[in-house]
Amino acid sequence: MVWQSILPAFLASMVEFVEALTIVIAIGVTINWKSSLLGAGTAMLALLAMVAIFGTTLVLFIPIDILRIVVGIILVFFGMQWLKKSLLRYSSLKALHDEAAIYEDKIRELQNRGDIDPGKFSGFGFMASFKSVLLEGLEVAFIVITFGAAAGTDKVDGIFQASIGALLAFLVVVTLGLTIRSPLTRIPENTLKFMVGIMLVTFGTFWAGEGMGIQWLFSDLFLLVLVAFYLILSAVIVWWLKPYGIAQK
Amino acid sequence: MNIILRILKEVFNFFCGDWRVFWGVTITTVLVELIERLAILAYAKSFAGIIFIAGISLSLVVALKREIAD
Repeated sequence: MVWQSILPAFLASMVEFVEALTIVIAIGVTINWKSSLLGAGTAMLALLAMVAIFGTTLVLFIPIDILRIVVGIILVFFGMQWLKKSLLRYSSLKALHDEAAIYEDKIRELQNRGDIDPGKFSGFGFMASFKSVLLEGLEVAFIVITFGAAAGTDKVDGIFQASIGALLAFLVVVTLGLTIRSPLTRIPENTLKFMVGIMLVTFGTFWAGEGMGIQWLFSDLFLLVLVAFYLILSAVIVWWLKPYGIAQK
Repeated sequence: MNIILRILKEVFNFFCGDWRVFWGVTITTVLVELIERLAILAYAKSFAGIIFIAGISLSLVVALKREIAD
């Protein structure tokens, strides 16, 4: 199914690209756009190369059954991180990600460096932009490779579709960023993070279980049962944690 | 040695980041593998899916419980 590879890659990429865009804009505004965009562009190329190299390795050398167990377990680990963070945020035990505050902090940090010449290419600006896009994009690259390779029977096609999902998110975020020229504070990052967490844990559970020989009821439709189960579990967890969040405040 | 440990820690943090989740999911996976492979545990096969989902959910709950205890 196409949506199995495109949707998770699209949603995960939205979250990560919004975070990276905040830093890229801060560097563009304070240092200069040339260094900032060159750093971001180089990081994107590095990420594409990573997807191509690791994607090809998975496609060529690992059979789909083994891949599904390994990818499934890793997706569960990975998804738990996203889910845990977003549940703690929903319960007020962790502060919501505030792009505007991060942007202001970054601008202040860059201005405090003092040696800024807006007309010149800045190695520092390039590296700061490169690092932020690369670090935020690593998770996206990982999701593109794993979801793409394990989602269907054709691994190459899967990775290609997942890459399209990530690319679409990149275009949406960049277009919005260029239009408003400030951090994208209105994108509900925690909700997106929560949705991605649910998807990662759901698919991870399903694929790992299938790889180990578990016969899921209703076959692929059991994915919906898993989504419903993890949503209900999350609601119960937030209900359980909420009083601790209020007490902490 | 320090660099290797640091790299391993970074890799762990990137993929999992929580030892309680790591051990919870790992033990559950081993248990389900044993149920699926050992004839002596074959009677539990019909519950393997439920055990797997319960193990994963429990790992999440234990990890969050520790967060509020800290």
